[in-house]
Amino acid sequence: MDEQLLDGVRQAAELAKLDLTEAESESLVSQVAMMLSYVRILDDLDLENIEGTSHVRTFAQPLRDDKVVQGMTKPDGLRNSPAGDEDFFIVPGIMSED
Amino acid sequence: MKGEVMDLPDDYEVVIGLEVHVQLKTKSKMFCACSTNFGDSPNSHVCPVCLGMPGALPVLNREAVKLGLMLGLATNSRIRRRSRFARKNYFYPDLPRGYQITQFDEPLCEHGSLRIGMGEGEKVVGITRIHLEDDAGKNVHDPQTGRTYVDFNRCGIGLAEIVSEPDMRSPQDAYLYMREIHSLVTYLGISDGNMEQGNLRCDANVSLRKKGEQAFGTRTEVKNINSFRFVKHALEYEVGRQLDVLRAGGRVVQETRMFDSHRGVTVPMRTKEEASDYRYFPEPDLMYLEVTDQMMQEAKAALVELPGERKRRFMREYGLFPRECEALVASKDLADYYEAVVRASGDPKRSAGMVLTELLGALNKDSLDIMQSPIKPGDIAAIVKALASGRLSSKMAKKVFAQAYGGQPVQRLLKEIGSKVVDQEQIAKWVDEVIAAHPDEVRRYKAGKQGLMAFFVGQVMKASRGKADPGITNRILKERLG
Repeated sequence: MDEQLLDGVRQAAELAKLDLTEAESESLVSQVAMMLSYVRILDDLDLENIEGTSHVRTFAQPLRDDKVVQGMTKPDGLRNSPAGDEDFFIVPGIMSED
Repeated sequence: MKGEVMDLPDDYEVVIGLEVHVQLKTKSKMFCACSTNFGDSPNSHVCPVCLGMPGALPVLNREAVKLGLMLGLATNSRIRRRSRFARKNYFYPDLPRGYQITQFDEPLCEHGSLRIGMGEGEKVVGITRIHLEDDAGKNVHDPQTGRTYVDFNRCGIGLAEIVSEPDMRSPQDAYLYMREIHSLVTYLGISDGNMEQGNLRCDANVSLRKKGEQAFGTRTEVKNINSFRFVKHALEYEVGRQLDVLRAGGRVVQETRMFDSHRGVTVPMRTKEEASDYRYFPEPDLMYLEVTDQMMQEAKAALVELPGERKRRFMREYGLFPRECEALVASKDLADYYEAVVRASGDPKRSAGMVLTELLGALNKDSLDIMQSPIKPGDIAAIVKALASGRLSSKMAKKVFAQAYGGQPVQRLLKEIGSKVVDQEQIAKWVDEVIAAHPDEVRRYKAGKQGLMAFFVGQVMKASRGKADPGITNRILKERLG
Protein backbone atom coordinates (compact mmCIF):
# COMPACT_ATOMS: atom_id res chain seq x y z
CA MET A 1 0.00 0.00 0.00
CA ASP A 2 1.34 3.38 -1.02
CA GLU A 3 0.94 5.30 2.25
CA GLN A 4 1.56 8.67 0.67
CA LEU A 5 -1.15 8.07 -1.89
CA LEU A 6 -3.49 6.82 0.82
CA ASP A 7 -3.01 10.09 2.68
CA GLY A 8 -3.70 11.93 -0.56
CA VAL A 9 -6.93 9.98 -1.08
CA ARG A 10 -8.06 10.69 2.48
CA GLN A 11 -7.32 14.37 2.10
CA ALA A 12 -9.11 14.62 -1.23
CA ALA A 13 -12.09 12.81 0.27
CA GLU A 14 -12.19 15.22 3.17
CA LEU A 15 -12.02 18.25 0.88
CA ALA A 16 -14.83 16.73 -1.20
CA LYS A 17 -16.80 16.06 2.00
CA LEU A 18 -16.93 12.34 1.19
CA ASP A 19 -17.27 9.85 4.04
CA LEU A 20 -15.11 6.97 2.89
CA THR A 21 -14.63 3.77 4.82
CA GLU A 22 -11.09 2.55 5.26
CA ALA A 23 -11.74 -0.20 2.67
CA GLU A 24 -13.07 2.33 0.17
CA SER A 25 -10.06 4.56 0.67
CA GLU A 26 -7.72 1.66 0.09
CA SER A 27 -9.49 0.51 -3.05
CA LEU A 28 -9.31 4.06 -4.37
CA VAL A 29 -5.55 4.12 -3.90
CA SER A 30 -5.00 1.63 -6.71
CA GLN A 31 -7.49 3.47 -8.93
CA VAL A 32 -5.83 6.81 -8.34
CA ALA A 33 -2.45 5.18 -8.95
CA MET A 34 -3.72 3.98 -12.34
CA MET A 35 -4.92 7.46 -13.24
CA LEU A 36 -1.60 8.97 -12.28
CA SER A 37 0.40 6.49 -14.26
CA TYR A 38 -1.81 7.12 -17.28
CA VAL A 39 -1.35 10.87 -17.06
CA ARG A 40 2.37 10.32 -16.66
CA ILE A 41 2.42 9.51 -20.39
CA LEU A 42 2.66 13.29 -20.79
CA ASP A 43 6.14 13.14 -19.33
CA ASP A 44 7.26 11.42 -22.52
CA LEU A 45 6.46 14.46 -24.62
CA ASP A 46 9.31 16.65 -25.70
CA LEU A 47 8.26 20.09 -24.49
CA GLU A 48 11.52 21.83 -25.14
CA ASN A 49 10.90 25.34 -26.56
CA ILE A 50 7.15 25.08 -26.11
CA GLU A 51 5.59 27.89 -24.16
CA GLY A 52 3.20 26.97 -21.39
CA THR A 53 -0.49 27.74 -21.81
CA SER A 54 -3.42 27.48 -19.46
CA HIS A 55 -6.20 27.38 -22.03
CA VAL A 56 -6.75 25.63 -25.33
CA ARG A 57 -7.95 28.89 -26.85
CA THR A 58 -5.32 31.50 -27.56
CA PHE A 59 -7.44 34.63 -27.88
CA ALA A 60 -8.67 37.04 -25.23
CA GLN A 61 -11.96 36.47 -23.49
CA PRO A 62 -14.92 38.46 -24.75
CA LEU A 63 -16.37 41.01 -22.32
CA ARG A 64 -19.96 41.87 -21.54
CA ASP A 65 -21.48 45.35 -21.17
CA ASP A 66 -22.73 46.20 -17.68
CA LYS A 67 -26.44 45.67 -18.35
CA VAL A 68 -28.92 43.99 -16.06
CA VAL A 69 -30.99 41.18 -17.46
CA GLN A 70 -33.55 39.50 -15.25
CA GLY A 71 -32.33 35.97 -14.63
CA MET A 72 -34.54 33.29 -13.15
CA THR A 73 -37.69 33.99 -11.21
CA LYS A 74 -37.32 33.33 -7.53
CA PRO A 75 -39.53 30.19 -7.54
CA ASP A 76 -37.53 28.82 -10.48
CA GLY A 77 -34.26 29.56 -8.74
CA LEU A 78 -35.39 27.88 -5.55
CA ARG A 79 -36.87 24.87 -7.32
CA ASN A 80 -33.68 22.81 -7.07
CA SER A 81 -33.20 23.57 -3.41
CA PRO A 82 -33.39 20.36 -1.38
CA ALA A 83 -35.01 22.34 1.39
CA GLY A 84 -36.28 25.87 1.32
CA ASP A 85 -39.09 28.23 2.03
CA GLU A 86 -40.38 30.83 -0.40
CA ASP A 87 -37.37 33.11 0.12
CA PHE A 88 -34.31 31.10 1.06
CA PHE A 89 -32.27 28.04 0.36
CA ILE A 90 -32.09 26.20 3.67
CA VAL A 91 -29.12 24.04 4.58
CA PRO A 92 -28.05 22.20 7.72
CA GLY A 93 -26.71 24.72 10.22
CA ILE A 94 -23.20 26.01 9.83
CA MET A 95 -21.38 27.00 12.96
CA SER A 96 -21.39 30.73 12.58
CA GLU A 97 -22.80 33.29 10.24
CA ASP A 98 -20.26 34.68 7.88
CA MET B 1 -10.13 60.72 13.74
CA LYS B 2 -11.40 60.31 17.20
CA GLY B 3 -10.06 58.11 19.96
CA GLU B 4 -6.57 57.93 21.33
CA VAL B 5 -3.74 56.01 19.79
CA MET B 6 -2.42 52.98 21.65
CA ASP B 7 1.04 53.08 23.19
CA LEU B 8 3.33 50.93 21.11
CA PRO B 9 5.65 48.52 22.91
CA ASP B 10 9.31 49.57 23.03
CA ASP B 11 10.74 46.06 22.91
CA TYR B 12 8.71 44.74 19.96
CA GLU B 13 7.82 46.07 16.54
CA VAL B 14 4.29 45.65 15.20
CA VAL B 15 3.92 44.40 11.62
CA ILE B 16 0.55 44.61 9.91
CA GLY B 17 -0.59 43.86 6.37
CA LEU B 18 -4.17 44.18 5.19
CA GLU B 19 -6.30 42.39 2.63
CA VAL B 20 -9.15 44.64 1.67
CA HIS B 21 -12.18 43.56 -0.34
CA VAL B 22 -13.92 46.31 -2.25
CA GLN B 23 -17.34 45.58 -3.66
CA LEU B 24 -17.43 47.09 -7.12
CA LYS B 25 -20.24 49.46 -7.99
CA THR B 26 -21.50 47.85 -11.17
CA LYS B 27 -25.14 47.44 -12.15
CA SER B 28 -24.80 43.76 -12.92
CA LYS B 29 -22.76 40.96 -11.35
CA MET B 30 -19.20 40.07 -12.30
CA PHE B 31 -19.86 37.07 -14.54
CA CYS B 32 -23.62 37.23 -15.19
CA ALA B 33 -26.25 39.90 -15.90
CA CYS B 34 -28.12 39.62 -12.58
CA SER B 35 -28.75 42.88 -10.73
CA THR B 36 -26.47 43.92 -7.87
CA ASN B 37 -29.17 45.97 -6.17
CA PHE B 38 -28.83 45.84 -2.38
CA GLY B 39 -31.74 45.10 -0.08
CA ASP B 40 -34.08 43.41 -2.55
CA SER B 41 -36.07 40.32 -1.65
CA PRO B 42 -33.76 37.31 -1.02
CA ASN B 43 -32.79 35.20 -4.02
CA SER B 44 -34.51 37.53 -6.47
CA HIS B 45 -31.30 38.20 -8.44
CA VAL B 46 -30.20 34.73 -9.45
CA CYS B 47 -29.51 32.85 -12.67
CA PRO B 48 -27.87 29.59 -13.75
CA VAL B 49 -24.41 31.21 -13.69
CA CYS B 50 -24.44 32.57 -10.13
CA LEU B 51 -26.36 29.54 -8.84
CA GLY B 52 -23.58 27.37 -10.18
CA MET B 53 -25.72 25.22 -12.44
CA PRO B 54 -23.84 22.76 -14.63
CA GLY B 55 -22.99 24.06 -18.07
CA ALA B 56 -23.62 27.73 -17.28
CA LEU B 57 -20.70 29.83 -18.48
CA PRO B 58 -19.32 33.04 -16.97
CA VAL B 59 -18.84 36.19 -19.10
CA LEU B 60 -16.82 38.97 -17.52
CA ASN B 61 -18.34 42.43 -16.95
CA ARG B 62 -16.38 45.11 -18.84
CA GLU B 63 -17.24 47.78 -16.26
CA ALA B 64 -15.79 45.69 -13.40
CA VAL B 65 -12.50 45.53 -15.30
CA LYS B 66 -12.58 49.31 -15.77
CA LEU B 67 -13.12 49.89 -12.05
CA GLY B 68 -10.27 47.50 -11.24
CA LEU B 69 -8.02 49.38 -13.67
CA MET B 70 -8.95 52.72 -12.08
CA LEU B 71 -8.00 51.34 -8.69
CA GLY B 72 -4.71 50.11 -10.13
CA LEU B 73 -3.92 53.45 -11.76
CA ALA B 74 -4.88 55.37 -8.62
CA THR B 75 -2.42 53.30 -6.58
CA ASN B 76 0.38 53.61 -9.17
CA SER B 77 0.26 49.89 -9.74
CA ARG B 78 1.70 48.13 -12.72
CA ILE B 79 -1.19 46.99 -14.92
CA ARG B 80 -0.86 43.53 -16.38
CA ARG B 81 -2.07 43.74 -19.97
CA ARG B 82 -2.77 40.02 -19.91
CA SER B 83 -4.10 38.58 -16.70
CA ARG B 84 -5.80 35.34 -15.88
CA PHE B 85 -8.55 33.98 -13.70
CA ALA B 86 -8.26 30.96 -11.44
CA ARG B 87 -10.55 28.75 -9.42
CA LYS B 88 -10.23 28.81 -5.66
CA ASN B 89 -11.97 25.73 -4.40
CA TYR B 90 -13.78 25.54 -1.11
CA PHE B 91 -16.92 23.96 0.15
CA TYR B 92 -19.41 26.22 1.87
CA PRO B 93 -23.15 26.82 1.45
CA ASP B 94 -22.70 30.44 0.35
CA LEU B 95 -20.82 29.29 -2.75
CA PRO B 96 -23.01 27.08 -4.96
CA ARG B 97 -20.30 26.51 -7.60
CA GLY B 98 -17.94 25.12 -4.99
CA TYR B 99 -15.23 27.52 -6.14
CA GLN B 100 -14.66 31.24 -6.32
CA ILE B 101 -13.49 32.72 -9.61
CA THR B 102 -10.53 34.86 -8.66
CA GLN B 103 -7.05 35.70 -9.88
CA PHE B 104 -4.03 33.89 -8.54
CA ASP B 105 -0.61 34.05 -10.13
CA GLU B 106 -1.42 36.64 -12.80
CA PRO B 107 -3.45 39.41 -11.13
CA LEU B 108 -4.67 42.52 -12.93
CA CYS B 109 -2.47 44.95 -10.94
CA GLU B 110 0.79 44.61 -9.00
CA HIS B 111 3.45 46.68 -7.26
CA GLY B 112 1.45 49.75 -6.31
CA SER B 113 1.51 52.02 -3.29
CA LEU B 114 -0.69 54.24 -1.19
CA ARG B 115 0.27 57.25 0.92
CA ILE B 116 -1.29 57.43 4.35
CA GLY B 117 -1.26 60.15 7.01
CA MET B 118 -0.06 63.70 6.52
CA GLY B 119 2.86 65.86 7.48
CA GLU B 120 5.34 64.12 9.77
CA GLY B 121 3.19 60.99 10.11
CA GLU B 122 3.02 60.49 6.36
CA LYS B 123 4.20 57.14 5.05
CA VAL B 124 3.89 54.95 2.01
CA VAL B 125 2.27 51.52 2.19
CA GLY B 126 3.17 49.11 -0.60
CA ILE B 127 0.40 47.37 -2.51
CA THR B 128 1.39 43.85 -3.46
CA ARG B 129 -1.48 43.22 -5.83
CA ILE B 130 -5.04 44.06 -6.78
CA HIS B 131 -7.09 41.31 -8.34
CA LEU B 132 -10.66 40.77 -9.47
CA GLU B 133 -12.94 38.08 -8.08
CA ASP B 134 -16.58 37.41 -7.33
CA ASP B 135 -18.41 37.54 -4.02
CA ALA B 136 -20.16 34.73 -2.16
CA GLY B 137 -23.79 34.65 -1.03
CA LYS B 138 -25.00 35.50 2.44
CA ASN B 139 -25.58 32.89 5.13
CA VAL B 140 -27.98 33.67 7.91
CA HIS B 141 -27.81 31.22 10.75
CA ASP B 142 -30.93 30.64 12.81
CA PRO B 143 -29.89 29.44 16.27
CA GLN B 144 -33.50 28.51 17.08
CA THR B 145 -33.89 25.93 14.34
CA GLY B 146 -30.18 25.25 13.98
CA ARG B 147 -30.51 25.79 10.26
CA THR B 148 -28.80 28.16 7.89
CA TYR B 149 -30.66 30.30 5.38
CA VAL B 150 -28.84 31.27 2.21
CA ASP B 151 -29.45 34.31 0.02
CA PHE B 152 -27.58 34.38 -3.29
CA ASN B 153 -28.35 37.98 -4.29
CA ARG B 154 -24.80 38.94 -3.34
CA CYS B 155 -23.28 35.83 -4.88
CA GLY B 156 -21.32 36.76 -7.99
CA ILE B 157 -21.07 40.51 -7.37
CA GLY B 158 -17.67 41.85 -8.45
CA LEU B 159 -14.94 42.47 -5.90
CA ALA B 160 -11.47 43.89 -6.10
CA GLU B 161 -9.11 42.53 -3.48
CA ILE B 162 -6.29 44.86 -2.51
CA VAL B 163 -3.41 43.11 -0.79
CA SER B 164 -0.91 45.35 1.00
CA GLU B 165 2.69 44.73 1.88
CA PRO B 166 3.34 44.22 5.62
CA ASP B 167 4.27 47.89 5.84
CA MET B 168 2.04 49.11 8.66
CA ARG B 169 3.63 49.49 12.08
CA SER B 170 0.66 50.20 14.32
CA PRO B 171 -3.11 49.74 14.51
CA GLN B 172 -3.32 53.48 13.82
CA ASP B 173 -1.48 52.98 10.51
CA ALA B 174 -3.98 50.28 9.58
CA TYR B 175 -6.85 52.59 10.45
CA LEU B 176 -5.40 55.40 8.30
CA TYR B 177 -4.84 52.96 5.46
CA MET B 178 -8.47 51.81 5.57
CA ARG B 179 -9.59 55.45 5.65
CA GLU B 180 -7.42 56.19 2.63
CA ILE B 181 -8.81 53.21 0.72
CA HIS B 182 -12.29 54.35 1.65
CA SER B 183 -11.84 57.87 0.34
CA LEU B 184 -10.09 56.52 -2.74
CA VAL B 185 -12.89 54.15 -3.74
CA THR B 186 -15.66 56.60 -2.92
CA TYR B 187 -13.90 59.47 -4.76
CA LEU B 188 -13.48 57.32 -7.82
CA GLY B 189 -17.03 55.98 -7.58
CA ILE B 190 -15.60 52.46 -7.58
CA SER B 191 -17.59 51.40 -4.53
CA ASP B 192 -20.03 52.67 -1.93
CA GLY B 193 -17.27 51.77 0.53
CA ASN B 194 -19.63 51.16 3.41
CA MET B 195 -17.93 48.87 5.94
CA GLU B 196 -21.09 48.31 7.96
CA GLN B 197 -22.95 47.17 4.84
CA GLY B 198 -20.07 44.94 3.90
CA ASN B 199 -19.07 46.57 0.63
CA LEU B 200 -15.68 47.32 2.14
CA ARG B 201 -14.19 44.47 4.18
CA CYS B 202 -10.80 43.83 5.64
CA ASP B 203 -8.73 40.98 7.00
CA ALA B 204 -5.52 41.76 8.82
CA ASN B 205 -2.25 39.86 9.13
CA VAL B 206 -0.60 40.75 12.41
CA SER B 207 2.76 39.78 13.84
CA LEU B 208 5.37 41.10 16.23
CA ARG B 209 9.14 40.94 16.06
CA LYS B 210 11.87 42.00 18.46
CA LYS B 211 13.08 45.47 17.63
CA GLY B 212 15.97 45.40 15.21
CA GLU B 213 15.19 41.93 13.88
CA GLN B 214 14.77 41.40 10.15
CA ALA B 215 12.74 38.20 10.06
CA PHE B 216 9.00 38.47 10.61
CA GLY B 217 7.40 36.83 13.61
CA THR B 218 4.64 34.25 13.36
CA ARG B 219 1.47 35.96 12.19
CA THR B 220 -2.21 35.53 12.85
CA GLU B 221 -4.96 36.51 10.45
CA VAL B 222 -7.79 38.52 11.99
CA LYS B 223 -11.13 38.35 10.21
CA ASN B 224 -14.56 39.89 10.67
CA ILE B 225 -13.43 43.49 11.07
CA ASN B 226 -16.55 45.26 9.86
CA SER B 227 -16.26 48.89 10.87
CA PHE B 228 -13.53 51.54 10.89
CA ARG B 229 -13.64 51.61 14.67
CA PHE B 230 -13.08 47.87 14.83
CA VAL B 231 -9.95 48.11 12.66
CA LYS B 232 -8.25 49.78 15.60
CA HIS B 233 -10.00 47.83 18.35
CA ALA B 234 -9.39 44.41 16.83
CA LEU B 235 -5.75 45.12 16.03
CA GLU B 236 -4.98 46.71 19.39
CA TYR B 237 -6.42 43.68 21.11
CA GLU B 238 -4.48 41.27 18.88
CA VAL B 239 -1.18 43.16 19.28
CA GLY B 240 -1.66 43.16 23.07
CA ARG B 241 -2.48 39.47 23.08
CA GLN B 242 0.61 38.51 21.07
CA LEU B 243 2.74 40.77 23.22
CA ASP B 244 1.55 38.97 26.36
CA VAL B 245 2.32 35.60 24.80
CA LEU B 246 5.81 36.63 23.68
CA ARG B 247 6.77 38.43 26.87
CA ALA B 248 5.75 35.37 28.86
CA GLY B 249 8.22 33.39 26.78
CA GLY B 250 5.53 31.68 24.71
CA ARG B 251 5.10 31.31 20.97
CA VAL B 252 2.39 32.78 18.79
CA VAL B 253 0.43 30.09 16.96
CA GLN B 254 -0.22 30.73 13.29
CA GLU B 255 -3.99 30.71 13.02
CA THR B 256 -7.06 32.56 11.81
CA ARG B 257 -8.90 34.50 14.48
CA MET B 258 -12.30 36.16 14.44
CA PHE B 259 -12.90 39.56 15.97
CA ASP B 260 -15.81 39.43 18.41
CA SER B 261 -16.97 43.04 18.51
CA HIS B 262 -19.30 42.50 21.46
CA ARG B 263 -16.51 41.36 23.72
CA GLY B 264 -13.78 43.34 21.96
CA VAL B 265 -11.52 40.29 21.64
CA THR B 266 -10.19 38.01 18.91
CA VAL B 267 -10.88 34.29 19.22
CA PRO B 268 -9.46 31.38 17.21
CA MET B 269 -11.71 30.26 14.38
CA ARG B 270 -12.93 26.72 14.76
CA THR B 271 -11.00 24.41 12.50
CA LYS B 272 -14.16 23.38 10.68
CA GLU B 273 -14.46 26.89 9.28
CA GLU B 274 -10.94 26.85 8.00
CA ALA B 275 -10.33 25.77 4.45
CA SER B 276 -6.64 25.25 4.15
CA ASP B 277 -6.34 23.76 0.72
CA TYR B 278 -7.85 25.88 -2.03
CA ARG B 279 -6.38 23.87 -4.92
CA TYR B 280 -6.06 26.86 -7.21
CA PHE B 281 -5.96 26.11 -10.90
CA PRO B 282 -6.52 28.19 -14.07
CA GLU B 283 -10.22 28.80 -14.72
CA PRO B 284 -10.95 26.69 -17.81
CA ASP B 285 -14.18 28.58 -18.55
CA LEU B 286 -12.36 31.87 -19.16
CA MET B 287 -9.60 32.75 -21.54
CA TYR B 288 -7.05 35.35 -20.58
CA LEU B 289 -8.17 38.92 -19.87
CA GLU B 290 -6.64 41.41 -22.23
CA VAL B 291 -6.48 45.07 -21.29
CA THR B 292 -6.51 46.98 -24.58
CA ASP B 293 -5.17 50.50 -25.11
CA GLN B 294 -8.73 51.71 -25.36
CA MET B 295 -9.62 50.17 -22.00
CA MET B 296 -6.58 51.85 -20.44
CA GLN B 297 -7.58 55.19 -21.91
CA GLU B 298 -11.13 54.85 -20.65
CA ALA B 299 -9.94 54.03 -17.15
CA LYS B 300 -7.51 56.97 -17.17
CA ALA B 301 -10.20 59.35 -18.39
CA ALA B 302 -12.47 58.29 -15.53
CA LEU B 303 -9.91 59.19 -12.85
CA VAL B 304 -10.64 62.33 -10.88
CA GLU B 305 -8.32 64.22 -8.56
CA LEU B 306 -7.56 61.75 -5.78
CA PRO B 307 -8.06 62.57 -2.10
CA GLY B 308 -4.34 62.46 -1.33
CA GLU B 309 -3.53 64.89 -4.16
CA ARG B 310 -6.41 67.10 -3.21
CA LYS B 311 -5.29 67.23 0.42
CA ARG B 312 -1.82 68.35 -0.58
CA ARG B 313 -3.25 70.91 -3.01
CA PHE B 314 -5.51 72.36 -0.28
CA MET B 315 -2.46 72.80 1.92
CA ARG B 316 -0.45 74.39 -0.85
CA GLU B 317 -3.08 76.59 -2.51
CA TYR B 318 -5.24 77.51 0.42
CA GLY B 319 -2.70 77.47 3.23
CA LEU B 320 -4.86 75.24 5.41
CA PHE B 321 -3.64 73.10 8.29
CA PRO B 322 -3.13 69.37 7.63
CA ARG B 323 -5.96 68.65 10.06
CA GLU B 324 -8.34 70.90 8.12
CA CYS B 325 -7.35 69.38 4.76
CA GLU B 326 -7.82 65.88 6.13
CA ALA B 327 -11.32 66.73 7.33
CA LEU B 328 -12.33 68.54 4.13
CA VAL B 329 -11.31 65.80 1.72
CA ALA B 330 -12.84 63.03 3.82
CA SER B 331 -15.59 62.90 1.23
CA LYS B 332 -15.58 64.19 -2.30
CA ASP B 333 -18.93 65.89 -1.79
CA LEU B 334 -17.63 67.83 1.19
CA ALA B 335 -14.45 68.85 -0.63
CA ASP B 336 -16.50 69.96 -3.66
CA TYR B 337 -18.82 71.96 -1.40
CA TYR B 338 -15.88 73.64 0.29
CA GLU B 339 -14.33 74.60 -3.03
CA ALA B 340 -17.65 76.07 -4.17
CA VAL B 341 -17.61 78.27 -1.05
CA VAL B 342 -14.03 79.31 -1.75
CA ARG B 343 -14.83 80.21 -5.36
CA ALA B 344 -17.69 82.44 -4.23
CA SER B 345 -15.94 84.00 -1.24
CA GLY B 346 -12.32 84.18 -2.35
CA ASP B 347 -11.33 83.44 1.24
CA PRO B 348 -10.12 79.85 1.75
CA LYS B 349 -9.14 80.20 5.40
CA ARG B 350 -12.39 81.64 6.70
CA SER B 351 -14.38 79.35 4.39
CA ALA B 352 -12.67 76.29 5.91
CA GLY B 353 -13.49 77.48 9.41
CA MET B 354 -17.11 78.14 8.53
CA VAL B 355 -17.60 74.81 6.75
CA LEU B 356 -15.75 72.66 9.27
CA THR B 357 -16.94 74.23 12.48
CA GLU B 358 -20.36 75.74 11.86
CA LEU B 359 -21.72 73.71 8.97
CA LEU B 360 -20.37 70.27 9.86
CA GLY B 361 -21.27 70.84 13.50
CA ALA B 362 -24.88 71.60 12.57
CA LEU B 363 -25.10 68.77 10.06
CA ASN B 364 -23.69 66.23 12.50
CA LYS B 365 -26.18 67.33 15.10
CA ASP B 366 -29.01 66.65 12.66
CA SER B 367 -27.40 63.48 11.27
CA LEU B 368 -27.36 64.96 7.77
CA ASP B 369 -24.63 64.61 5.21
CA ILE B 370 -23.26 67.45 3.13
CA MET B 371 -25.54 66.71 0.19
CA GLN B 372 -28.53 67.30 2.47
CA SER B 373 -27.26 70.63 3.73
CA PRO B 374 -30.11 73.14 4.03
CA ILE B 375 -27.70 75.97 3.27
CA LYS B 376 -26.03 76.52 -0.11
CA PRO B 377 -22.30 77.21 -0.68
CA GLY B 378 -23.15 80.69 -2.00
CA ASP B 379 -24.86 81.58 1.29
CA ILE B 380 -21.92 80.41 3.35
CA ALA B 381 -19.71 82.48 1.06
CA ALA B 382 -21.85 85.56 1.69
CA ILE B 383 -21.39 85.13 5.44
CA VAL B 384 -17.65 84.58 4.96
CA LYS B 385 -17.40 87.78 2.92
CA ALA B 386 -19.30 89.78 5.51
CA LEU B 387 -16.99 88.37 8.15
CA ALA B 388 -13.87 89.22 6.16
CA SER B 389 -15.00 92.77 5.46
CA GLY B 390 -15.69 93.36 9.11
CA ARG B 391 -19.41 93.83 8.66
CA LEU B 392 -19.86 90.83 10.92
CA SER B 393 -17.97 89.92 14.05
CA SER B 394 -17.23 86.23 14.33
CA LYS B 395 -19.84 85.97 17.02
CA MET B 396 -22.45 87.51 14.77
CA ALA B 397 -21.36 85.34 11.85
CA LYS B 398 -22.16 82.29 13.97
CA LYS B 399 -25.58 83.75 14.71
CA VAL B 400 -26.31 84.56 11.07
CA PHE B 401 -25.16 81.09 10.10
CA ALA B 402 -27.51 79.46 12.62
CA GLN B 403 -30.45 81.51 11.35
CA ALA B 404 -29.60 80.86 7.71
CA TYR B 405 -29.19 77.15 8.46
CA GLY B 406 -32.62 77.31 10.03
CA GLY B 407 -34.05 78.48 6.72
CA GLN B 408 -33.89 82.28 6.76
CA PRO B 409 -32.57 83.99 3.61
CA VAL B 410 -28.96 85.05 4.12
CA GLN B 411 -29.15 88.27 2.10
CA ARG B 412 -32.01 89.57 4.24
CA LEU B 413 -30.21 88.64 7.47
CA LEU B 414 -27.08 90.44 6.34
CA LYS B 415 -29.06 93.51 5.30
CA GLU B 416 -30.80 93.73 8.66
CA ILE B 417 -27.53 93.42 10.48
CA GLY B 418 -25.83 95.84 8.09
CA SER B 419 -28.07 98.64 9.31
CA LYS B 420 -27.05 97.99 12.89
CA VAL B 421 -23.39 97.37 12.32
CA VAL B 422 -20.83 99.76 11.13
CA ASP B 423 -19.32 98.49 7.93
CA GLN B 424 -15.93 99.06 6.51
CA GLU B 425 -16.89 101.99 4.35
CA GLN B 426 -18.20 103.92 7.33
CA ILE B 427 -15.03 103.20 9.30
CA ALA B 428 -12.98 104.40 6.34
CA LYS B 429 -14.93 107.65 6.37
CA TRP B 430 -14.15 108.20 10.06
CA VAL B 431 -10.52 107.39 9.45
CA ASP B 432 -10.33 110.01 6.72
CA GLU B 433 -11.95 112.59 9.00
CA VAL B 434 -9.50 111.86 11.81
CA ILE B 435 -6.54 112.09 9.44
CA ALA B 436 -7.78 115.42 8.04
CA ALA B 437 -8.31 116.83 11.52
CA HIS B 438 -4.80 115.95 12.82
CA PRO B 439 -2.20 116.94 10.17
CA ASP B 440 0.46 117.46 12.83
CA GLU B 441 0.16 113.96 14.29
CA VAL B 442 0.09 112.48 10.78
CA ARG B 443 3.36 114.21 9.95
CA ARG B 444 4.98 112.95 13.16
CA TYR B 445 3.67 109.43 12.60
CA LYS B 446 5.11 109.40 9.10
CA ALA B 447 8.39 110.64 10.49
CA GLY B 448 8.60 107.47 12.58
CA LYS B 449 6.51 108.04 15.68
CA GLN B 450 4.71 104.65 15.43
CA GLY B 451 3.20 105.00 18.88
CA LEU B 452 0.74 107.55 17.50
CA MET B 453 -1.25 104.68 15.90
CA ALA B 454 -3.00 104.16 19.21
CA PHE B 455 -3.96 107.83 19.23
CA PHE B 456 -5.56 107.57 15.75
CA VAL B 457 -7.44 104.41 16.66
CA GLY B 458 -8.69 106.13 19.78
CA GLN B 459 -9.90 109.12 17.76
CA VAL B 460 -11.78 106.87 15.31
CA MET B 461 -13.35 104.96 18.19
CA LYS B 462 -14.41 108.26 19.67
CA ALA B 463 -15.90 109.42 16.35
CA SER B 464 -17.82 106.13 16.00
CA ARG B 465 -18.86 106.20 19.63
CA GLY B 466 -17.23 102.79 20.12
CA LYS B 467 -18.98 101.06 17.23
CA ALA B 468 -15.98 100.67 14.93
CA ASP B 469 -14.08 97.40 15.02
CA PRO B 470 -10.57 98.20 16.32
CA GLY B 471 -8.92 95.56 14.12
CA ILE B 472 -10.44 96.95 10.94
CA THR B 473 -9.80 100.51 12.04
CA ASN B 474 -6.17 99.64 12.54
CA ARG B 475 -5.88 98.06 9.11
CA ILE B 476 -7.51 101.00 7.31
CA LEU B 477 -5.39 103.49 9.22
CA LYS B 478 -2.24 101.65 8.20
CA GLU B 479 -3.37 101.61 4.57
CA ARG B 480 -4.06 105.33 4.59
CA LEU B 481 -0.95 106.36 6.48
CA GLY B 482 1.23 104.11 4.34
